[in-house]
Amino acid sequence: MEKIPGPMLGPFDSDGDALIAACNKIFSKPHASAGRKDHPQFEVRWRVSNEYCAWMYYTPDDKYVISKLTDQTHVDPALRSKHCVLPPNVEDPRYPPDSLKYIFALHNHLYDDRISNLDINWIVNRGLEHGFEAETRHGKARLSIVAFLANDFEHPACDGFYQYIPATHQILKWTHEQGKWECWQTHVVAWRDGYERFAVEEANRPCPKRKSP
Amino acid sequence: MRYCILLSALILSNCLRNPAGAPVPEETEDKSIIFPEFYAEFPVVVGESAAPYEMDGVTLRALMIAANDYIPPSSQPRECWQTQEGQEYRVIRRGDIIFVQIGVNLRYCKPKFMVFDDGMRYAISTDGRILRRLATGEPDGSRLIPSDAGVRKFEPLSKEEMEFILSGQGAPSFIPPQWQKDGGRPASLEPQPHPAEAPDGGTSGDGGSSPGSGL
Repeated sequence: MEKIPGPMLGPFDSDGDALIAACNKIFSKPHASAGRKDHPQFEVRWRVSNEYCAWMYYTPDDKYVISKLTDQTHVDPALRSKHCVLPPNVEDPRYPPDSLKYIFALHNHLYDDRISNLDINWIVNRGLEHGFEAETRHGKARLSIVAFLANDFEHPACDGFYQYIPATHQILKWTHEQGKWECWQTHVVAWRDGYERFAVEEANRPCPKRKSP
Repeated sequence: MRYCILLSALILSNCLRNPAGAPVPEETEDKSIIFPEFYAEFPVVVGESAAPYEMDGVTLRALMIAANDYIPPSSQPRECWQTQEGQEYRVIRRGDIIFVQIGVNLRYCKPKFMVFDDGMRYAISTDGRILRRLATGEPDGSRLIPSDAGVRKFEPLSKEEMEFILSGQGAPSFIPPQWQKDGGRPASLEPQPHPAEAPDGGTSGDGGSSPGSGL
């Protein structure tokens, strides 16, 4: 299947509200987190956990919407792991397909683990298809891939997420305390060879809060 | 000696009738082996220079073992991303261990759908044994949690600041011409034709599952 149906959640007026709703929804699903790496049963928990994935898209009436989730997985040939399979396109019968703007590709990581190198390739390839920037009523929204994380195996909650933004080359880590969110840049992705190959470089700093000149 | 080579479409299917590196049961793997970071540096890419590349047979064997373990040779038709030639191979040799990372080559294939966090890493001995496998995202045995790595002051954002950064406006944007639809996408980024990716081509029952059911 080349399209995932929408909507599942929304409409939302902001990408932040839509993102947190999607995060909470994913962690309400069975086995969405293996919990913390330092738990004695962590590896067993990891094996029974599942990835879920979805798109966040922007509609012609200026709303952010979350597509349905899929838990369809690909089991690697060595039978070691299973990963979420996300179709490249969304089908929302309320709108013409070309009118939808792709904002975030969403999935959960089973523990606190940054955006994988293969996810970087994945979202760049989606950007080649959908574009890396979309005009919204809030200004430009830049295509990202987001990996949610939850630290509790038995009662997972949305504890944070990693975000890679191809247009700014940043990998960000988001966490929250007492209802407030914090953003920290962990890495930048450096490209070479005609933007075909990359290296992931550590670059720890707070996320800039104001628009760059 | 340390070197890192990216090999695309190098490993030939069916070239090993009896691979030396027969898979080892997971419980016998050496979980003390720490994998290197394959993307910390740029690779040397086979075919990007006119200079010849040399590889010893031990490294070639390790690559073949990894490739055949990840996608066993088969005469059955498969979608491009499920073939050996549809993968990228990165190699780092450290002492007597050859580390290999395998993941789908999106410059070569254009799957109808994509798998997050796909790929596998191998540690293979110079005598041709698989010492350890590690899927992308699979715990490596390290107990270190990134958020525990250092203590720093929590700096909360306002809702407006959060949405500003989330949308990618918090840093300068640079979208290279190669990534722009009308900006002269390099030929190597164009997917290569693959017979199994014709509209009705490929099989879904040969190692993968079809995506789709909304929950």
